[in-house]
Amino acid sequence: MDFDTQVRLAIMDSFLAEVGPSVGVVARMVDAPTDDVAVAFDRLAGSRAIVLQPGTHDVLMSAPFAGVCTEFSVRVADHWYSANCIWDALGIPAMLAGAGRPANARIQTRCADCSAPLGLDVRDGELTAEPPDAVVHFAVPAARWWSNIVFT
Amino acid sequence: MQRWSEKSGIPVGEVFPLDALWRLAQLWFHDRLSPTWRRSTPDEAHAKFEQAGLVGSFWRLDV
Repeated sequence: MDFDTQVRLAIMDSFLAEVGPSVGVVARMVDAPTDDVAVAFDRLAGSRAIVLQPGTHDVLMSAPFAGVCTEFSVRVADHWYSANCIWDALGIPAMLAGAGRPANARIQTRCADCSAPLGLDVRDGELTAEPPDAVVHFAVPAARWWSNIVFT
Repeated sequence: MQRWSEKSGIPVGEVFPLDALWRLAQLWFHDRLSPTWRRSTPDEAHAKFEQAGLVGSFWRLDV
């Protein structure tokens, strides 16, 4: 496995463990110098595998995980994760199921219009929502997502 | 949707059912923890959108 892949997977493992994936944390996980890991973070950001806070090595996004608290909370067993959007919130159980890990999840967010709570459950691969007639809105066409990945 | 758009000043984009997004999430993220994961090419992304039932110019990456 190449170094950047090791670093990317360590970032994901760090998020899964609810530990912020700082350069120092990841360097310990992959047993490599922090300078090398920082450069790998830059390469991963350059290839859009992760998004860094501008001018830092703080991970803002390593989809489906968010590096900051968001309106999209995902509970899996006794873990709480933050997702970047509703797509990524659903991406957490999808990713875990794909890896053969426990993937039943409870997603909590709210209606962007009226702020009413919105709850989604993924159980054994089936999605249910409360309210059941909730819909998704994407404001920005796919071709422009990377113009500002924070607002899609 | 229209009320939200007027309040926020953001034009309405694409509105679709949660089931379609769940299908897309499974197609998009199932291999994210694999060492062999890589970003989808535009053609691969289009195929995933289409498989999830998300079609039309909104979902094109090459426009």
